[in-house]
Amino acid sequence: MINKITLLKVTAFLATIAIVFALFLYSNQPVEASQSSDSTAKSISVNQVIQDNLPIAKPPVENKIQSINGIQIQLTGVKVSQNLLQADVCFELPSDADWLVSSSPDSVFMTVGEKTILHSGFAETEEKFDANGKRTQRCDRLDFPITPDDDLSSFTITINQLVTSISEQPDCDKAQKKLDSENTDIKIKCDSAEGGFNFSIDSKPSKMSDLDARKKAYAAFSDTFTGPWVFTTGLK
Amino acid sequence: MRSKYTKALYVFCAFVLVFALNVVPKDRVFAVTCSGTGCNDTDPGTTGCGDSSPSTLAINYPASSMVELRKSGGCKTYWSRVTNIDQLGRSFYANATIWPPAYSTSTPGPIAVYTLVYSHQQYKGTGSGTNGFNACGYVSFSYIYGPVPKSASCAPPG
Repeated sequence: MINKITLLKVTAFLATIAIVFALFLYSNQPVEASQSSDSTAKSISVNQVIQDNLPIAKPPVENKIQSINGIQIQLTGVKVSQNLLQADVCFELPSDADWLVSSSPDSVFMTVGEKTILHSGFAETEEKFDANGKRTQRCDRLDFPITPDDDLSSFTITINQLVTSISEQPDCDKAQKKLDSENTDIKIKCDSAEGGFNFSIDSKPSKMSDLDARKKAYAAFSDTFTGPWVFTTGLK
Repeated sequence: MRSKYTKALYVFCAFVLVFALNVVPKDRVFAVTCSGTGCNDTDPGTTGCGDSSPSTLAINYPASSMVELRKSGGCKTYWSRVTNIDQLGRSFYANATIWPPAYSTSTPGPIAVYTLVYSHQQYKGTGSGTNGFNACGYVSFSYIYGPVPKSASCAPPG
């Protein structure tokens, strides 16, 4: 027959094991997207979107709001200013990180007839917060260089993905783990110095170019949320 | 008098707890080493401000480069950052300049593609958005003497 003291000891032992196991599970949770309190978007794991290749909704012909995999982007206005087509967009933030509409010129573009115009940049215009003061949306003005020959009566604007900005001193270990999890066979070494950051490719697949290896390594310092969000609109 | 079994159990539990505290990966914690105007003309990376609620307020893409206006929400500082994003993989000299007050960083030699350089930071405790700042800079085949003046290639355009 087991006495109470023995039972207490066994319980304490099992509780210790349970706590350790729980901590281990918690430390391996994927990034969870934050959910706006006034949004109908569902919470979704960022990593799950990338891994599961969730289906992309086909956009209607005329639309100002697009929701892809639970993240909504709204096209709030377009106008021409000098030689720029400026488009204002607001998007839900997948998490508390510094999410951006682009980190390369070709990730956001407009299509006018047969012509593709890459955006030349963007600037934040507004931040939105929920009732608890938590930042939930970001609004930006996107710039597209246009010419007088461009027929702006109908065009599309495509945002391929949302991406997090890179730190001034990125987490090299985290980036390496990401490269390893994607089976890239790329090994990197980082060098953070005063005023700058660089990395070198220690090893890569023999058939991969140095440029491709550096491009993949650079991407590993960011998180991405895949779209695309496509808007069809025009100026009359 | 505790039995040997009890003592062994306590030692084992202590060992498990110590092991758990060290095996669970901890997020990197950066201590910010400046505040207010004490951050003026300092490195946002080494001061920890770059990881204290960072945000990118504006981006511009002059040839082969990405120019960013960066902000630290924690330090309320602003700086310029330039990345070589040349699609042909070429190395370039680079400069990053923040206006005001024209803190400028020029690389002494060419930097490889996807390498970044950033200016020192400037504190501004009030205001929102790009807050009157312009991040300027570019990449070039030759050394760049800073500060780089404001132009349409700044973020936001100056």
